Amino acid sequence: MERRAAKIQGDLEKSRLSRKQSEEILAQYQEKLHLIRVEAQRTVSEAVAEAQKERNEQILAVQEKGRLQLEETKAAFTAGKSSLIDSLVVQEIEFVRSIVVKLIGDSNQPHLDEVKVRLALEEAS
Amino acid sequence: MFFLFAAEPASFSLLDFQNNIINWLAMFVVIVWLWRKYTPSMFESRKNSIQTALQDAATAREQGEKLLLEQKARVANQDQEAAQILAEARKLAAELKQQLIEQTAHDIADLQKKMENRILNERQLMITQMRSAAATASIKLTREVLPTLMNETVKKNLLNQFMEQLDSATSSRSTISSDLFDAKSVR
Repeated sequence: MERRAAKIQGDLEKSRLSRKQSEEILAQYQEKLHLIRVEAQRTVSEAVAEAQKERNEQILAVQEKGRLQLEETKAAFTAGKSSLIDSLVVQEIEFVRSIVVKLIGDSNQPHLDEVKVRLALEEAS
Repeated sequence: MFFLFAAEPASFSLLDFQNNIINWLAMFVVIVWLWRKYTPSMFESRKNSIQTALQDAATAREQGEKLLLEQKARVANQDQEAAQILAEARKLAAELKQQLIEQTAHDIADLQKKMENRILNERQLMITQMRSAAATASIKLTREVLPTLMNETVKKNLLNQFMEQLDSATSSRSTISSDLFDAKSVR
């Protein structure tokens, strides 16, 4: 009876020790695994953040380039407006003459001053 | 055994229990019968419980040792598992980065197209404004010039033109009226 009781006690003690060791090993394993997963998540997050930063920089650069092009276009138009009006003066005089001819005939040709026509174009624009 | 050698043989009686061997034999038989009837099952139950306890203890020990071996095996593969997790994370990071780069290229192309369209629209708007300005200026200039050109000849010509147009309009209306009158007469 004593031998059997000792055997039972011994088996139970071995089982308890094995389980305790298993739990300790499992806890260490899970802790290390948690650290590895944290590192993996950090790797992914850093890569995405870096790519996102590059994306933002590129998009900002394109937007800035577009804004500059638009401003250049407007500036070029403003700068070229004077020469454009100069080139329109002759055509404008011919256009007014054609209107007058259609209205009252070609018996009288109007005399149009280029300075006056240019001034009218500048005021209208 | 004292009753076998009981004294006082003079008082010996078959009715006396102590002196009746048959009674003693009967009691012995009953005791043996009771012993044989109840003790085996009791011992069997005791044996079974001890056997079960032994079995349970052995099973618990085996399970504990098996669990320990499994955990040791997992720990042994931990480095490999960690390397695999990190490799998968790097692969996922590279894929996400590539997706973002492709999406960025696509978005930049769209953005450039929008910018070009906006510049084209702006140029078109400027051209439209200049055309409108030219039309406005021509109307203004014509309005200013026309009165200076209005001499008697021009006025006469305009009046003649107006009268001709009026005559033609009146004659066409009278023609239409007579046609209508004819149509009503026919009815």
